[in-house]
Amino acid sequence: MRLEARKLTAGYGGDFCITDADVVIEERRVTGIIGPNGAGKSTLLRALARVIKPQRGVVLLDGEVLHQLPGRLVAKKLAFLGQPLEGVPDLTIEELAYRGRFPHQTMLRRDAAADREAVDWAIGAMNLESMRGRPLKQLSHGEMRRAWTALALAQQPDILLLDEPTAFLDMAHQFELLDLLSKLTDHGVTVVVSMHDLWLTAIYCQRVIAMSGGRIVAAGPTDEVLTVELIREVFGVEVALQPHPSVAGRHIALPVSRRREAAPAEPVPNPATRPSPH
Amino acid sequence: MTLAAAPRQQQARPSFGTARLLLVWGLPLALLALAIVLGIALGPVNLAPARVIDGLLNRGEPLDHTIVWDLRLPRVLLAVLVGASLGVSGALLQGVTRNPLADPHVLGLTAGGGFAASLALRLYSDFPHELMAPVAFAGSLLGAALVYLLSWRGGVSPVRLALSGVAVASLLTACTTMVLVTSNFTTQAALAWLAGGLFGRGWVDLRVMWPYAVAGLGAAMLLTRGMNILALGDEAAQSLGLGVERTRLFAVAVAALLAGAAVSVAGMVAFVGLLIPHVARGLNGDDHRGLVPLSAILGATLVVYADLFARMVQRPVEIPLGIVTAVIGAPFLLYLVRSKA
Repeated sequence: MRLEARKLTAGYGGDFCITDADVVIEERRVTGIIGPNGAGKSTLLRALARVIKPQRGVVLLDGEVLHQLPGRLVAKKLAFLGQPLEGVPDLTIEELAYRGRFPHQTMLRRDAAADREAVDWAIGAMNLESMRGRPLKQLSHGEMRRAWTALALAQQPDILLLDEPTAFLDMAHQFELLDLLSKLTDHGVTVVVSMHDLWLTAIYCQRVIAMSGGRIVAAGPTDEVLTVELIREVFGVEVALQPHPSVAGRHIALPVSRRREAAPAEPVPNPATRPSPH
Repeated sequence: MTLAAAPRQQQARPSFGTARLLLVWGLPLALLALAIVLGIALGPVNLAPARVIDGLLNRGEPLDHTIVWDLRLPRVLLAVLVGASLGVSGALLQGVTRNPLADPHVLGLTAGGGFAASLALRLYSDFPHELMAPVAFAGSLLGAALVYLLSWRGGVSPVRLALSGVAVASLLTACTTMVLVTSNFTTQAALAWLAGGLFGRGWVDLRVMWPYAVAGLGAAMLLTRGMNILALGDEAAQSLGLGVERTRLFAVAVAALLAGAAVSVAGMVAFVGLLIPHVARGLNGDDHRGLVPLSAILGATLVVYADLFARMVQRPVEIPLGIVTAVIGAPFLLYLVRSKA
């Protein structure tokens, strides 16, 4: 299942949040969308997910114009998860996952065996078997995220689009969720996530789309995109790239300072007088 | 017995079982059945169950048949339909707006009916009682359409729907009051109508009203799957392939149809649409497939008892049904709110 955007311009009301975006999502990979706040990451995801309509350009799903396809049909191939609701529905994890079967059911026809199989797989893939009967209201942030992801997986999508899935999670739960998402590619699922954290992006994403000011600045394999120059341009920070100690062929970016406007080869100040590194 | 062999639903909610089924569905159904029997048996002449049955089958005294068949049965059936309509209307509106305070009165779906009825009485002081229902029905639907159009801005958001509903309700209620205080004739008729009641209603009204109520209740059942998806939030619903705006429009239209049908025969019956979905949710949970039919049963039960009370408490004078439901509903709602917190 191939997802791409051509000359995509989209936004809310009259404002364009993204302009002329050309995107090709590589299949069976984890693609990370990075960029500072307001870069248009969420808008790009929503346009790719058929949640908002493009003002210009098209999104193509296997060569067909996404926004002209029926919603139910798209929902069987492509699942999107935005930021969670403020209120928590009075449901158990399993009941929530069953609602992901909606696009596969009609008023009169449903395949109970297929529904159960898909829900079981989704709950298993999110490592929630032991708590499938637990109400959502009793879950931690990390469990809640996985429960909603199970809903999306119960759709049995080929492509899973997630808007900042690791937001508000503590570090262990970020790793846990990204581990589970990475494993989905073994099942043939294409994963697209918007990410805030460059370290996690470097470790978990095979491909990266870098955005700034509503435009796509760079896209490609992670190590080719995440360069010192690109991070300076997109995030306005100086980083030093270091080989990842345990993931071969990956580099992680250590923040050094804000972008220096003058010449780069500035002497490092005395550590004792340096402000705390953030 | 192995755990794996047990049906999934039992794992999902440990409390699910026969006892729960009996509590959630058996108790309300039993209360409704009792209400219907009491509603037919009690009145100025109290009838023993045997006489009720004889009256229904027209094999006892002719007077019993008149009381049971012509006076009480249609009124009880109307109370059932009015209650079910208001309960389901409230359940749909609370789902669509994701707001626990939504109900057909608060959202202005019935204020148009009140305005239309009082205007009719103002213009024609001898406005025929039989025509009141269609006029109120049309007024309700127009009011509901106004609410929906005012909240439209490339789509209807739950918050805008709730706010424009409250605005339209206040405006139309003010217009109703204006019409009443500036009229020369006695406002008794209009006031009685506005306070709600089934006094003098019979087969004629039932024959006009039941198709709308039944159609609305059926349509509400068809909406339940979509409402469950809508409850997950607009974005989630959209990415599950639900036509969000279409579902919302359909749900508001069905809620307006039901509220209009109820208002047309019973006037303004307060609190049923607000209270009943909360009780139903307490018993059944958020799943609309259970919530909607349970709201119908509980709403019907409440209104039949309330109408019985309205007839019986101050004989021979009837007190307005809307006052009874408010007196029962307000404290009960407060209790629900406080027990949740």
